[in-house]
Amino acid sequence: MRLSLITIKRRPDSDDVSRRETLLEGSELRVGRGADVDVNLPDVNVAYHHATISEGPGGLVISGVGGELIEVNGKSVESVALTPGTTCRIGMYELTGENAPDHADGAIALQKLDSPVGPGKDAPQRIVETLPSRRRLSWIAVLVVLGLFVAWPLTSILMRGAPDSGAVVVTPMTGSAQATVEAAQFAIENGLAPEATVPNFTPMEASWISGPMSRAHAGLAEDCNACHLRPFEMTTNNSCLACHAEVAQHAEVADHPVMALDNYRCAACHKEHVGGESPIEQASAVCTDCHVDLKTVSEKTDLMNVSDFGANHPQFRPTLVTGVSTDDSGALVPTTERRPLDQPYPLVEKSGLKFPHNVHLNKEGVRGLGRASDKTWDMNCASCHVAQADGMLMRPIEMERDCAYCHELTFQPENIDFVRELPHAKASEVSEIVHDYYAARVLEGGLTVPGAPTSARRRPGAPMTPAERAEGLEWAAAQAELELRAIMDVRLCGDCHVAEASAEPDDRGRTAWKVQGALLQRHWMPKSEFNHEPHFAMDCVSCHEATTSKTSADVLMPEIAICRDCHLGEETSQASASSECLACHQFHIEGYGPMSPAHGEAVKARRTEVERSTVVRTSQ
Amino acid sequence: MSAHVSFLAHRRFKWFKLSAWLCLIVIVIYSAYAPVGGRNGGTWVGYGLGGLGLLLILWLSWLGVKKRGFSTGESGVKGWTSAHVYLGLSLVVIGTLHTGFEFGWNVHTLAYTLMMLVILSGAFGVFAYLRYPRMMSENLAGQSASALRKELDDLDVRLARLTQRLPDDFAAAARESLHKTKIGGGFFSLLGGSSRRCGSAKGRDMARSQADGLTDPAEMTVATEMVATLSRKAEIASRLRRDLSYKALMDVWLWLHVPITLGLIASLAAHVLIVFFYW
Repeated sequence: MRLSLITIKRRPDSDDVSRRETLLEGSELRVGRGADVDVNLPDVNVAYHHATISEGPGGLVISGVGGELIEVNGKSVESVALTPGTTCRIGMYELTGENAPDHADGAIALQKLDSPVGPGKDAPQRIVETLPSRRRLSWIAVLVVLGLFVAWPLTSILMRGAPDSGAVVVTPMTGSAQATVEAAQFAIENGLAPEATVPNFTPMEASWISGPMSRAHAGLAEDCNACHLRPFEMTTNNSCLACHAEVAQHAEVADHPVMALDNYRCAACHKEHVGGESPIEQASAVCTDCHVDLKTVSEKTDLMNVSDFGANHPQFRPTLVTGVSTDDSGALVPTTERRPLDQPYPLVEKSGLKFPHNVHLNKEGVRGLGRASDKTWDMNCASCHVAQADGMLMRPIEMERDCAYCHELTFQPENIDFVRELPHAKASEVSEIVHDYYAARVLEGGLTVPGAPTSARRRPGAPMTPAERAEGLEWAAAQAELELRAIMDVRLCGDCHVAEASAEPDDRGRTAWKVQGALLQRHWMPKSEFNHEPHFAMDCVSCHEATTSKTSADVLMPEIAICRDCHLGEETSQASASSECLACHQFHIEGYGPMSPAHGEAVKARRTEVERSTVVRTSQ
Repeated sequence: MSAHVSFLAHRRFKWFKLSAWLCLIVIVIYSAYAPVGGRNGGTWVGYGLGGLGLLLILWLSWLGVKKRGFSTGESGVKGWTSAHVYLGLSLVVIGTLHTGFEFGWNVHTLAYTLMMLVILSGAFGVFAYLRYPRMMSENLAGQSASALRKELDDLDVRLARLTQRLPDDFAAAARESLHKTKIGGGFFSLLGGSSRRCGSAKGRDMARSQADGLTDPAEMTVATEMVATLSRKAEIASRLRRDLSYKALMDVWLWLHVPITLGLIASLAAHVLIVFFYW
């Protein structure tokens, strides 16, 4: 068999085709990768001896060897007749049957196909080919941020309304629960739409909060519009006053017009969104800003300048009771006076009470009086002075509770087995009781008191002549007067009080007694607030020198130096107990009226209205 | 000093000194100012720092756009780059002090976080430009990547030729190499540049174990050449992959830097809007 093998080559980038003919002879022609086969197909995908070409009945036949296959029209076959026009593929080579030329028995055209693109040749070679473009990513970033954090929350915020600018709106706050109840009640009673108590909030608004709310305002954390009423407007005082309608002024505005603080925002001192307990600013700079030279702010002030508790704070000036008088209605009225503690002479108080602290703090115990004279009590400060529940002031001293268990007001004339309780602070009743007693004894008879007239000594029940009766009663009155003088001046009232006898006897011939009531100062330094509770670890006497005090005229308030042992001020570098102004003082001082009179009035009106509606409902 | 680092030292560290002074002044002002309510972005110093930071961010973003299109010569580009890098780093101080160290789950801290990410990615870019070019030339040992690719093609032809004189098992090894020597590909293979699954390395091992079983001296000679060819191919492929990985590292940071910068500008717009919306 003679085979004409025509090798076809195409030049790259050209339509030129070259055909080179090789004549092969043999009964079988071997096709394969091997260097020594007849038709060499240098391709690793072709077997060493891949196929054999032989002459069949109808022309050339190519058959796979050793199980190798040949591809015809995409199908793998074991053998195929290469009639003219038939094409088969082995590896990257294409074999096509052609019409046999004269000098050969058959012809096959052999053409190498374009080598398939190599592995990974079309794979991305730069990482940017695997990524979306930076422009697209940037757009995504911009749209995500603006959509999530601006568009979403903003649409829901803008759909809400806000009260008119400057409108006085109040929500009485007396405990948050009560406020809610009151608000709801008010709305129902007045046919209004109930106020929202659910969070006024969409999820993404949380992302707008610039910092944590203080604990005091934690309930408002999900209601931005509670304070932020209108876009691009600083929070107004009206938002604060809606709840804090009755917050008090700092000073008497009539005397110090500057203290109306008309051009100040609450938020100038009260910073929210910085966490903490409350938005009350603790830094003293807020106060000393003015108080370092107060006259420049308000000429009429009589307050002294202060810049730092440790370095520059006036000596304490307690308010002393310098006298007690009784007004027409019988109430006690003190005269008071503010005096600094660092006087060259000791301060004297006139409270109307005789009370030696040293006697009552006797370390060996205090012996009882009257019926309790066989007992002793171990007394200390807390026996009488107990702080109020809030730890601030001491509860008022009450005679009945704090003194009477020893200072019993019992009237027990000598030799008579008779005890009568006398009322406290009622001198005329005491007088009546004593006079009545002696008169009754004389009329009864059987008295054994030395010096008693015979009519009084008579057998009990025996009749008296009018003369005897007059003599007896005269004696009884004289005896009562004697006894009363002892009670008022020496024994019972006189123990603690100064009693004064009237110059002239009254129309019944009796001496009228006036016992000076005691009015003890409870709030010595009313401009400050001292809390006893945090000072629990200290002895009372380390500040109040009571053990050596012999008279109630002593003023046992500590000087500033004693406080400064621990409270060193803020300018020091040493460790100090809290020394900021607000540790003892308040800015908003009750008694000076509300910061905003309009809100003060509104809240009062509102409260009355709520009360009225509550009453109506109860009666229904 | 090589050309790659000289932008940092541009004009005797002019921009470094400027940024350092800026940071120092900002720190002094921040420390000296103790306002009511504590230091935060809502005080006058806070507004000042925020405004300064905002202007810097916008200017630096503009610089970033500008310096790529620059045609004022090498020193101009270097100057802009130097300014971009050092002022960008100074934003770490300015931005952080603006926050007053108050952070939370909100859009304000989002803006801060994005700014830090931009600075971090930029810092990586500087690091990449300082480090990788030298590692790339060391990796390619003075040759160009295209020369190595050309050599790979030549080795493929040689492999095909060698298999003509070797049994079919060697053809399988050659096929492994020809079909599975992948260079480049997906995001992670480009970034990783690993050669663990290289077809040429596997083909080399296959051919080597086949060669041990040969007895014909002629075939043994050819097989030895084939192993050597596959070995060389594996090495070149590995170097090319590492080359692509360096290039990927030098490219990829910009794909964070630029989109996050745009996200940052959007979140800053939101931040400023919200701060004054709810004043």
